[in-house]
Amino acid sequence: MRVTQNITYNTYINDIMRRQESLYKLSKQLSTGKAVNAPSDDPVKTDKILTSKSILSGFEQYDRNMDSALDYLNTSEDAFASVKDVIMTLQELATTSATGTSDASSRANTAVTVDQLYQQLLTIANTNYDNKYAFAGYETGTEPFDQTGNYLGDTNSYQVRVNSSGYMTVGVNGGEVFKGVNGGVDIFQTVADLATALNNNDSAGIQAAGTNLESAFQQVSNAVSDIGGRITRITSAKNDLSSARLDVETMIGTLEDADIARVISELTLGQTALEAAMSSAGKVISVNIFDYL
Amino acid sequence: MASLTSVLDIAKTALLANQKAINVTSHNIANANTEGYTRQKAVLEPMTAVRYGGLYFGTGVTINSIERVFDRFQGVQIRTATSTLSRYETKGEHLSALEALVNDLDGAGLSSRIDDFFNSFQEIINNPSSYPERSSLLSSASLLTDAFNTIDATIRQNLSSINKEMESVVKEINSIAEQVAELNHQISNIEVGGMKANDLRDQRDLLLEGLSGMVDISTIESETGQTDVYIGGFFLVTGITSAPLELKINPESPVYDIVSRGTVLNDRITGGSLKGHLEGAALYDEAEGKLNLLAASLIKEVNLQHSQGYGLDGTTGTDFFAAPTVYTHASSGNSGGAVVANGAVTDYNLLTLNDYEVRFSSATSYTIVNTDTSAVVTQGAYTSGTAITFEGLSFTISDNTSAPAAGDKFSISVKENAAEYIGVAVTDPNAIAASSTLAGVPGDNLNAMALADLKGAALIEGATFNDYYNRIVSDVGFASSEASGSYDAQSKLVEELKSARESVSGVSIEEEAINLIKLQRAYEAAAKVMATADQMLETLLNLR
Repeated sequence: MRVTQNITYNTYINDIMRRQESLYKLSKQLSTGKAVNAPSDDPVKTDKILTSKSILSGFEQYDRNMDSALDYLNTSEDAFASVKDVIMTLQELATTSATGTSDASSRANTAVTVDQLYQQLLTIANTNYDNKYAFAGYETGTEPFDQTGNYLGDTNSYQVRVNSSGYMTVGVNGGEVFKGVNGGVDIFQTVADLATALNNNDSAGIQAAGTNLESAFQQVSNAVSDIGGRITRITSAKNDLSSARLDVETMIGTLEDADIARVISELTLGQTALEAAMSSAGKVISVNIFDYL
Repeated sequence: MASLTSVLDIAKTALLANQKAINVTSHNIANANTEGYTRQKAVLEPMTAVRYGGLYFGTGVTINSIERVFDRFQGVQIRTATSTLSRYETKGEHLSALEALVNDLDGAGLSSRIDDFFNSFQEIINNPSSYPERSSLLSSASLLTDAFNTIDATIRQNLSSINKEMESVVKEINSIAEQVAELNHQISNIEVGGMKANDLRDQRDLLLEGLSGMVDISTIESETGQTDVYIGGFFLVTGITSAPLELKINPESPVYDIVSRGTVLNDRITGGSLKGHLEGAALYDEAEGKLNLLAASLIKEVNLQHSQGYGLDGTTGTDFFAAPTVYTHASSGNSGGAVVANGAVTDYNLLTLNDYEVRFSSATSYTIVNTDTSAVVTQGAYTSGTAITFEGLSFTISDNTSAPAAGDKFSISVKENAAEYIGVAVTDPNAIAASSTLAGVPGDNLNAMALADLKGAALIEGATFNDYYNRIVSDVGFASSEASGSYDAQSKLVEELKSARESVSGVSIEEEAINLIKLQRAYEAAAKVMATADQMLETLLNLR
């Protein structure tokens, strides 16, 4: 084969260009820290990375959803703890007043206290959390309980999405807890009955109210342990989610992150090859026939 | 006639021949770096011998011809390879532009905006009556529609710049065609006298190589030395005439038709940057089509669900995204005088997002065909100006200059331009239909749930919105990596072919330098012969 000057020069030019291009690609991986910088770098990985990022974005949303649910449940738990305190006080009052030693006037005095506690219960039942009435079902814009203890909300309980496959009921329905709409005790009615019995100096009525208060206490306790159960479930779901998030993040990392050690060693290798090509070009090109003729 | 004067004559031919050969060598050296130059060779030949006294005596040397040293097959190979190379190069340029447009790997593209949009619905689920969550949904919806609009606008811009590039390529092709025709004329004029038009042939070969970078050509050389050039079987240059290419706007296609004397060549072109442009345009068009389907599907599904819910203000039946405009278009081949007006969606439930064609079989009756499934949807009797309604959409064809003629076609599409027109229709955050109960019960989040659930539903061609978009991205990635891989392989092939040609036809300075010395020595020797003959003559003349 005849080798002309142009062949030599062109070969060196193309060779050096190619080496510089691969060095550029490697240095880009180094500076971004990513092996996949454009879809064409690895279309298969691109699809997986994008899908995983979308899943991750969903996970982050579920986490926010659960945080918001926890806020609500904690508020509800606090509210019901106060309700339990109030009912215990009422029970004590009922027990004390039920004995023969208390007379009509002391019972009338107690009735005033019971009325105040009734108001306290009403305030708790109408808890306004984040500009919404917490125990009103879907009717979060309306006070769920009026002065006489009628429930104005509906029977719904709101749900939030906690994972890709389902929703979890978060809302605590005021109708069930305070009014016993599903076959429980109407707490407001019980307290009102107690006050009426006290005012009427009606020992039997006081006793009956006392018994009902016991059921009411149980009803609220059940609601509290129900809320506690939900909090536990959400907390463990959050833990599951954070480990799932870590898995997805690790997978994204594995897919798109550059192997820095490998990139650096390839870069060094490429630099050496480029230097070799350049020094060989320098030597060959400097040979001139006219030096010898 | 072996006389002393004939020795002088022989020396003269040798002096002249070697001087001419040095001339060729110096021409080679002078053009060592001239692009497209083919090294030339002086072909020396002994002159006819003469018979004298029963013996044949030589009469010296002559230059028979000056020839180009080349391999015709190499030229053809390089042209073919160059066509393929620049096809991939151009296609690759368009693909990397498209790739940059949909490159969501940095986490700021359409993909993450779809995520954000549906996540915003979940925030509303958490807090259905809260104003900030609702208005945040409207802003993430706007970001989503903006992304659609921007990508679509850029695709359109790039398509129109492809047309501009095609204009300049075709101009260049036509100019080369003229030059080749002119060179054909000059070459045949010179070569008719038996000479070789070496440098003109180099020029023509160089032009043809440049031409093959723009479009794949085939060539045939005639006996008179003229080269005919063909594109897809249609001549561009024949003899001394050229047939320039023309570009015509095709209303059915985003790119020009490339026309040669009335025939559209688009499908016949298989190489060169022109093919790269055509492929690039097709890829843009395909990506835009998928983006339109994604946008249309998003509009359809979200609106369908949204209209079933109730806003905080009690509004219901409202569209979340602006209602689609039904794109209608009268075929450019229609012979009747009817026009079609843009239509509207009448029922999201029935909407298929397929494309349709209204085909007139006479002035009064038509058939509507789903062009995606080829199924006949409905048939009807035509009354000018009466709305035609089917599969959830409605539009109107009416007589303009005359009634439609048999064979007239009108295309109807909901998804066409969807990425361009997609926009958010809801302006009041309270009108977002999160509730599924009448009068928008504030704590009711059931419809927001249904809307948020659309994210995970396989609604387009068996994929979710995200998956469908990710498919678009990875498809572009595949095409782009394939084009750049083909380009790399092809550029090595072209380099090798060019080296092979250079090996045959290129000028080697060393070779020429050695030739120069060789010829110089021969010239000196011939001069010595002349001097010797002269001395011999003098010896004779001095005899007394």
